Amino acid sequence: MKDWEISQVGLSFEHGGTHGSANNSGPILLSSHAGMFVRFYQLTQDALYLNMARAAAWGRDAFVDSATGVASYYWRMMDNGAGPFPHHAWWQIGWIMDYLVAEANMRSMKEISFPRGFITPKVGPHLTYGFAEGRVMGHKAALILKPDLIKIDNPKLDCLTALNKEEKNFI
Amino acid sequence: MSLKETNESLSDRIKRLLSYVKSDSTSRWRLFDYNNVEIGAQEYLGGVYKAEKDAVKNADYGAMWMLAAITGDRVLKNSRLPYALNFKLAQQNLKDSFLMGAAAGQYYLYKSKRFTEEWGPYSEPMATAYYLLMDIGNVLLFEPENRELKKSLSLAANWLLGKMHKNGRWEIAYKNDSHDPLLPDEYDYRPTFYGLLVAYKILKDQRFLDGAIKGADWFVENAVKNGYYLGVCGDTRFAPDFATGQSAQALLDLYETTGIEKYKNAAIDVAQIYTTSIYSHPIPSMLQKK
Repeated sequence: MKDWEISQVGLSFEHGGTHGSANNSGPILLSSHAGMFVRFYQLTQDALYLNMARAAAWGRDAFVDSATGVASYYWRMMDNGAGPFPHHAWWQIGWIMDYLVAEANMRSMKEISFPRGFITPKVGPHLTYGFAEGRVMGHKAALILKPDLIKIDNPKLDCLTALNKEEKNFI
Repeated sequence: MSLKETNESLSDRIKRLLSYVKSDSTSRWRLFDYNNVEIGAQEYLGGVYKAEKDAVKNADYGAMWMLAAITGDRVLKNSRLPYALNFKLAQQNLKDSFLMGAAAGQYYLYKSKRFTEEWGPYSEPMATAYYLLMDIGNVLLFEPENRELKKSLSLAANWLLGKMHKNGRWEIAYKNDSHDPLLPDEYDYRPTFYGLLVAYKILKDQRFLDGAIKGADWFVENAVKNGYYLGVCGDTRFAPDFATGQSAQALLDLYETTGIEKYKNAAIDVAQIYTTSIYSHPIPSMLQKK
């Protein structure tokens, strides 16, 4: 395994301070801040936010349980999966969606935009989506996810799908 | 970033996480009878105050309702959401006159049939913001006509507003038995005001926006200007944690609702400080690691 695969750079911690879990367990893989940092990049044009968001989110295979797709929580647990926290899978779905939608919004100069809900409790600032239609290049579109609809061979490509029922457009 | 490779895209990982949360066995999903209502939650295997290895909880109601909405998945819609919703409604304290409307606890202990916090018998205003206002607020975005949920949200918002001190500050927590403040020597440097912003955005009651602004003003003056932050995990006297990141987003959301520049500037201040919670070294390399 290469050093970059287990790098801590970009990750946040649970709690800091003299007694915080960061001391013994290192950072966490629950990168709830990733989407928000993309938003702060949009707001400030300070690339530090964008670099930190991407370093947190991308290329984290070494921490993902191969059987379930669930990332471990503490860095020191490597790819041991959910462990005692099976509910964390929902937070992982939440932050990944927030990050992907935020990247799409930023890269498209806000031409891809979906209404944002409220912050999730506890683990960080990621937001929820999917409760109302957004807009994609001037057209109304609702986020959808059908697991077998699209298959992409290149793992470097992330995919968001949306539907406009009136115009019968699938994006 | 140039060193990074991956064998699975994030969007493909979400598809695998969907399979995980749909499976009762992998996600450790359980149903329990609570006052003749069936409530559902996932097993929690960490330590919880007074637990006999019987703690269960749910996380991220927004993500649950989002995934059900965008997939249209029947398992999520029929076997998860209704029971998670019952859990959420059962989580509100309706017994204690002082805590009426507050969150009764993050965890449910199915052997003793009660809700509790992880670290002791106390109730935090922040927990009501989290486990009632933000969770229910997110669900109401998907189910805007759900009157029972709106009632629950309103009750929680009124409790939170009622517990705000005149200067816009909240206590960190109250002891469940005596109702005394749990940590009278420490202030609530957390984005508790956000709970009232959620209530305003759903219920459109001006009192809640006024309360959110008052709470945010105290927070900006006392937390942001001094760089003081507290955490939400409860261990080690609420040592600073990811709640600092939430403070940045909460202030940004308040800015977007009010248009008041002060909150945008404060949000950026907090975001800058939060970058110091992000690891930036050692610089990743191609070195071989064992």
